[in-house]
Amino acid sequence: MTEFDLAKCPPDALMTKTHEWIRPDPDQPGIYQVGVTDFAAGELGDVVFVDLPDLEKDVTQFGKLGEIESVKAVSDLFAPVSGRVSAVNQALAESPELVNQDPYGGGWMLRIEITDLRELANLMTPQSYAEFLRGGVEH
Amino acid sequence: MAVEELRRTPLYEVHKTLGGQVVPFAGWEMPLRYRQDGRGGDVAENRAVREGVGLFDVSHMGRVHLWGSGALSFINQLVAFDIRRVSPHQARYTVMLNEKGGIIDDLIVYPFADPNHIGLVINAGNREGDLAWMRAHQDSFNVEIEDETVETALIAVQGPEALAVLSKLTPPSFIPPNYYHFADGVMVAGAKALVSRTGYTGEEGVELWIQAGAAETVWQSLLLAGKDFGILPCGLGSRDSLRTEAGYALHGHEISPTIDPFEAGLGWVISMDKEEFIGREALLEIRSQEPLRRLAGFRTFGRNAIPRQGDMVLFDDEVVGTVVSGVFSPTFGVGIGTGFLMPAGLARTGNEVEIIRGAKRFEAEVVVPPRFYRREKS
Repeated sequence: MTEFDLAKCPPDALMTKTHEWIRPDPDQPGIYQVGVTDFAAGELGDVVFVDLPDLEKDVTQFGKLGEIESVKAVSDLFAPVSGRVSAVNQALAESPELVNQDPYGGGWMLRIEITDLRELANLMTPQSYAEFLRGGVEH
Repeated sequence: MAVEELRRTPLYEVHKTLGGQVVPFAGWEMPLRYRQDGRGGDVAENRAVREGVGLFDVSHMGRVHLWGSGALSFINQLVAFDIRRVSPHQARYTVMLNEKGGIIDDLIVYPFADPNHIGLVINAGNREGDLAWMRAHQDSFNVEIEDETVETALIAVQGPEALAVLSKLTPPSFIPPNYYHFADGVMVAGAKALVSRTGYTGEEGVELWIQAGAAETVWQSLLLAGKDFGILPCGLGSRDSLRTEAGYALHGHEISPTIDPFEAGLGWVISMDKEEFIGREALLEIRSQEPLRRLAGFRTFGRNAIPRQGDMVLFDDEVVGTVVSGVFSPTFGVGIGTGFLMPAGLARTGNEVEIIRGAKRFEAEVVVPPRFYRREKS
C-alpha cells in the first residue's frame, strides 16, 4: 500500500472516500480547487492522461467528473461537490506526471464554483481521511 | 469470499525496504512498483529495462523438477513442442494443452545434461493446477515431480546492460553464450545458480534460479553491481507493459484453457509432427477448419487513447472483438493492447479499428502478430 502523508496535505483540504481533495481558492471566493490525494496518485502509478470535463459544465456531488489513466489502469474521477466547472488545469495535458509529483499543487485538476456549501459536510478532514484509509471511522 | 493466505517470496522484506508497493497477485504478495523519487514508478522502471537494466523478483513463478528415466517421455506427452529436439542446456518455450487443445499453461522447459532431469518454469497462478494435471497424467512414467518453488527464488535481470551487470558477479565464461540457453551450478555472488538467458521483457537478460536463503544476498549484489548502469528494482506494473510491448502472451489474457495455440499465434511452439501429445487430436481438427478468431495487437495514436481489458473493438461500426490486455506503452507514448478479432481475417497489420469504452471511442491500428517492440540484436 502507498501512504497518505498527512504532513504534505494542505490543512484546509477536504477529502472524498474516492480520494479526491477539494480546498477553497484563496483568491476567488466560492471557487474550489480539486485534485486527487497523494495516496490515490501512489495507487495509480504513473498518471499518463487526465480526461477532464468541459468548462461551464454542471457537476453533481459524487457524480463522475472525468477519468484518470495510468499505465496500467483507468479510474474515474468524482466531483467532491456540486457546482460548475470554472477552470481545468491545462498543464496536465502536457505533463500528467504533475499528478504524481505534486498532487496538491501543480497536479490540481479543476476548479469548481460551488453551489451549496453545506455539501462540504459530506467530506472528510485530512485527519478523518487518514483514519478512513486505516480502515477506521468513515467520517 | 474466503481470505486466502498469501505467500511471500524470500525477498518480501527487501521489497518493503526499497519502497515497493506490494499487492496480491496470483496468490502471492508481489511488488507492483517501487517508489522512484516521487514518480509513479511504472514508466521509470520500463525505461530502465529498455535503456539500461532492471531487476525483478519473479519468485512467484512455479519451479518444478522432473526426475527419472521417464522424465523426457513424460514431458513430451504433456507439452506441444517435441522436447527430444531440444539440446541439453537449451531452454524451450512451449504450452501444455488440455484434450480440447486449449492452453492449460505456457512454460519453459529446461533439459539438463543429466538425461533423467528436466526443469520447468510455470505460471504462479497455474502452479497448483499444473501440478495436479501432471500428477494425473503420471501413469506408468518413471518420473518424480518435485515442486521446488517455495525453497528457491527466481530473480530476473533484464535490459541491454543485464549481462554486463551479471559479469561483475560471475566469470563471463560461465554465462550461457546464447539466448534461450542456460547453465547450472554457476556461482553468482557466492550462491549456486541456474543462469538462464530468458525473460519476459523483450530485452537481453537472464533469470537466476537460486536457493531461497541466497536470494537477499544475490539481489543486493545485483543492485550494487548495477548501480553504474542505473539499475532499478522493477515491479509487476513495468513487467506487464514490457511484455505487452514485446508481444508476449499472459495466461488468462492472450492464452487460456479455452484458447487454442493457433488462434493465439503460437503455432511455432507446437511440433505437429510429434506422434503423440495431449491435445494433438484436437489441434489436427482445429487446423483442418477455418479459424474463427485470431489474436491481434492494437496501437493507438495518443496517450489519451489507451485500450483496457474488456473494451469493445469495432470494425465498420460492427463489434469484432474485445480487448484482453491494454496498457500505456512507456516506450512509444501511445496506448497498446491485444484482443481476438472475429472473423479472423480482420487480424491483419494495417487494418483500422475503433475501440470503445463507455462514452470513450478512439481509433487504433491493427498489428499482427502483436509485437510492438523488437530489440536490436547486437
